[in-house]
Amino acid sequence: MKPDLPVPAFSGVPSFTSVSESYVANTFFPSLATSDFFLQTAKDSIYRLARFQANWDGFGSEKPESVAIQRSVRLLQILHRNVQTTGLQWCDPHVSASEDGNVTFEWWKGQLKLTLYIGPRSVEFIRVWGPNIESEMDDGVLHGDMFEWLWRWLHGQK
Amino acid sequence: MNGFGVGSTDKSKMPTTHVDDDELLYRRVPNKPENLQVVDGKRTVATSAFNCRFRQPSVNRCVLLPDPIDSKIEDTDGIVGVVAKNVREITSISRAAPATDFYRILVEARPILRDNLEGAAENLAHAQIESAPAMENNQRFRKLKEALAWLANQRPWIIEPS
Repeated sequence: MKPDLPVPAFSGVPSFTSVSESYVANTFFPSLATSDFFLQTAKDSIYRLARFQANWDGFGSEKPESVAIQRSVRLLQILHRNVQTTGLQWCDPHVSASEDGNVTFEWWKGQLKLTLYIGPRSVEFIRVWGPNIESEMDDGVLHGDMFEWLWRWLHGQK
Repeated sequence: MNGFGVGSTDKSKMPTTHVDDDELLYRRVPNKPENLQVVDGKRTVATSAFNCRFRQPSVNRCVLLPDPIDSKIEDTDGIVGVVAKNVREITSISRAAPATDFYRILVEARPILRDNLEGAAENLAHAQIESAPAMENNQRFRKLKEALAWLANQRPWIIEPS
């Protein structure tokens, strides 16, 4: 596992010009592959939500909540660090929003799927391993080091 | 708000009030990065593709609006399909305590008639994926969206987003 490395100063600044920063990072600082620096693409996806208005998806959804967006950026960094302790590879989440203005993070791994709903007050998860809502999904509130356990589950580890 | 295209609904076919189990249902997927993800080299839909403010995602009935292009609003929209029987077979969702019964998942014909109060375009093929009783909170609806996205991802795109 690579150690945490200093985060370049601009990586924490909200930006809507993601291409240049991600490109520079990947091109000139490949050794920073496990640092927060490489979360910039995911962060940009989160910041993109801040520009959405109500009914952004054409299905009547609420505007993504600004508090949820801010929490999502911080949570992304925490989750990334948690994953580093597992020794498993990090991958950026798919970022979107729900009809009630929560930010969603989704990861797929084969037939397994993990979704986080980041709201203004809590973070909830859903694990999915099939379409049966009763026997192939479960959910709960994310707390403590639970994400490490969820990440291991997603990668087929007990 | 149904968020669904109407295209050239075949008006010679009267809307039926019952959606048969074998009916194919179209779901419009706006071409936004928030709705799409590449997994193992395959473009898949995310759960937000089934977002619905009223927890009753809209679909169009293929039997009444056969050409999937007519279910688009934007040219770039994709169309995925789910079969009514599979949707109904999404197993019942337990209600929150203290309730001890379950939500049943329904596929209900909800034709949008001309001159409706909402001012929505006529769409006789419109149907909704609903639950009985109506879900009390989004936590339950999230699981339904997961199941719908799962079903949609089991089939090839009817029309890929472009």
